[in-house]
Amino acid sequence: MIDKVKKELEIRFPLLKLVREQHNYLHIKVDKAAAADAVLTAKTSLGFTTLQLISAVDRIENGAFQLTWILENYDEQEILLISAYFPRKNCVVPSLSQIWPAASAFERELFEMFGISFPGNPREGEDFLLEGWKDMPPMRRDFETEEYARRTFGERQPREHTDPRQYIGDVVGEWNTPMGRNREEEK
Amino acid sequence: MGVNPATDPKKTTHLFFGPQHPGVTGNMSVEMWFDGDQVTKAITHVGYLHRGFEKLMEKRLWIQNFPLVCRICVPEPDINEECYALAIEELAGIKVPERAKWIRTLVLEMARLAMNLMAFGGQAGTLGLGTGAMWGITFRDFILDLFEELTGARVYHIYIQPGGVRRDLPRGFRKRVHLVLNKIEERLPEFDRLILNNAVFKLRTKGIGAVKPEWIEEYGLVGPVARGSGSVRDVRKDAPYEIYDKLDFDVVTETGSDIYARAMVRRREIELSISLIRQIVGGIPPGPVATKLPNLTEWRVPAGEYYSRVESSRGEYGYYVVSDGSLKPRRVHVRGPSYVHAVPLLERMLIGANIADVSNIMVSLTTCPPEIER
Repeated sequence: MIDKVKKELEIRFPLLKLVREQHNYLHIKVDKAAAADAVLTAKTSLGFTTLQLISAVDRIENGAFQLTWILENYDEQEILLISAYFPRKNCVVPSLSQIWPAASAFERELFEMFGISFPGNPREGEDFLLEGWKDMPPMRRDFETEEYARRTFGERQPREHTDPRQYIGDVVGEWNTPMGRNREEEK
Repeated sequence: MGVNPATDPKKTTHLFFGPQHPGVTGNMSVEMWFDGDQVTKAITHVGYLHRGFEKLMEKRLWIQNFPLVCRICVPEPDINEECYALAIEELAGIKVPERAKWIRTLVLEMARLAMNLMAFGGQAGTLGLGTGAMWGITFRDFILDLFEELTGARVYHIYIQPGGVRRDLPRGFRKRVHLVLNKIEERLPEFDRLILNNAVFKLRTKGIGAVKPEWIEEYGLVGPVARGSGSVRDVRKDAPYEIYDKLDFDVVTETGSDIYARAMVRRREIELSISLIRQIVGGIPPGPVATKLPNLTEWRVPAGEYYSRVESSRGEYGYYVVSDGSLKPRRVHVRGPSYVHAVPLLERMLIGANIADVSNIMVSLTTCPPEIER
């Protein structure tokens, strides 16, 4: 069955590349200009009526974001993944929120986490997960978590030793703990 | 219907529901505008629980992420481990021994049973029928005892690993599973009397919180939310993983589309899980429980991408895992069922609802906020 889907897509998008094919599972890569068209073709002509997920991978080494739309054809029990590379700088991807209401939430998240813009999504830019975030979108590969934490929350002093007994002693005073007091009484 | 809040703010009430409210499922909030006591607009706010798991996972070794993924869902953590393990096994070409597959299925069904007991009782809890909620929690606790014996932990088990499970079943475990199942089964008629046959429960749930069947494809609805509206979507049947193709069961489905139908699906799922666990416990074959893995500190999973999915108690759960052949995952994207249930669907469903039914509707979707903000 998935063969039929593959053949159909190959006829319409001759430049597509096959990423993975197995029982009832097909992953293809298309050109960025053909991405939205491929997703819509899968919905209207091939029965992939459910959108499961829109995901992004930061391919910083290629200067691109890899967008992946995961679709499901429930009647045939098939999963179709359509991937495309979009330039990383000022990344703009066609929105599908008018076709699937669920796409709106996925796109809002990708806008916040990667800075990918989906023109046509009426709720783009509305706060979703990161209310009031002003920094670089945090899921980008060049966002340094440790550096951000240091900058925002200050330098954290490393422990001088790793022995927990000694560490507790440093912090609360070893002989102030109940166990310590008992030991002192024994002496 | 109602007054447009944008044009006539004086005639509407603006209310925040959550994040600190006992009627809200987890750490999320809903901002609502009311005309009288009817909702005219609702916006779901999340972000109170964002722990950056997906970013953290890119900075840790493949195996180090197992203690992270289970924390994405507190009441039913094992589906995360299973989904992540399935993706790694597919990418690395690891074969799972037959016995491990049976044990994994047992663990998944035990977790589903615990979650459904809590969710079914919890639905009654939102209507003031606290006894149902307490019973649900109590019987879940007996299952947690079994988990403690099997895995060493009550809530986060970190039991499933690539290529199998962490350890074998303890001696006498099957007998104790049967004892717990008998105890739950004995109480089920009482559950029905207390919850499903209760006049208050019926009045407050029948015909309320309708999920239209056409929304299932539009929003990508799954699990009891879809099955309560006549859908037969269940990954266990549609794309069987582990040993579900060897078990005898029918997908639970109801046609009421309302809160009562969803509660009914959960109630029947409890019976289904009990039956499945009995089948599994009676058929576990002998053999090893894990495949030998390479040195985990230097384990490079071959480059590739895979989308694995399993059925959780709330519906289809997916992991999109990308490897670039290095020591750490390149990207892990978790697709929890609550994502579409709590954000686009809830915002749509609440329009026209009565203020008193808001928490009832929310709980009937069994949303789990950590799935939205991984």
